[in-house]
Amino acid sequence: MEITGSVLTALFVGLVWALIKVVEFFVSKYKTKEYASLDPEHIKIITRIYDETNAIRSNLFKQENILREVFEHSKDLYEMHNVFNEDHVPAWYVSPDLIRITRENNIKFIDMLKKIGEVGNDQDVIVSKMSELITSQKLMTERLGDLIFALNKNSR
Amino acid sequence: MTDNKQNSRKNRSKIEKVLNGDVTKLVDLQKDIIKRLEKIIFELNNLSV
Repeated sequence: MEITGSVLTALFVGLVWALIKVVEFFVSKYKTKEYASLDPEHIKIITRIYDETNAIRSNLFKQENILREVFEHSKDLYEMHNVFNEDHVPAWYVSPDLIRITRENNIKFIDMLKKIGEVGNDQDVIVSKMSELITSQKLMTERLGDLIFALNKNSR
Repeated sequence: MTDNKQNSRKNRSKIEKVLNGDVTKLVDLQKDIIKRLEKIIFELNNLSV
C-alpha cells in the first residue's frame, strides 16, 4: 500500500485539531463581551453549532479507527493476491488511488478548516468555506462508493 | 496444497466482506459529516438574519 495507517492517523489528528480551532473560534467570538450582548435565540443557535462541531469531531475519531482497519485488511488481501499469483489485477487494487483522492480531500478539508479559524468575524466567508467542505466531503463519499463497487465486483 | 488454497480463498472472501462493511460504515460517517456541515451553515445563516 502506498499510504500507511500512520500517515492517515496524522492526517486525522490534523483534521481534529482544525475542528477544535473552529470551536475555539466560536468560543472566542461569543464567550467574550459579545456573548453577553447576544439575545437568547442567538445563544441557542451557537449552542447548536457547538453540538454539531463536536459531533463531527467524534465522527472523525470513529473514521480514523475504521480506516486503520481498512488498511490492515487491504494489506492482507494484497499478500494473498501474491500467494495465488493470479494474472488478473484484483478489483480492490484501485483502492490506493481512491485512498490518494481521499487523502487529498482530507488535506483540503484541513486547509479550509484552518482558514475558517482565521477569518475572524466574516460570516459570509465561513459559510462559503463550509460549502466547499461539503463539496469535498461529497466527492470523498462518492469515491468510497466506487471502492465498495470494486469490492463487490471482486467478490462475485 | 489444494486445501491450503481453498482455506486461503475462504479467508480472502471473509476479509473482503469485512472490508466492504468497513467502507460502508465510512460512507455513512461521511454522509453524517455532510449533514452536520449543512446544519452548521443553516445555523450560521440564522445567526446573520
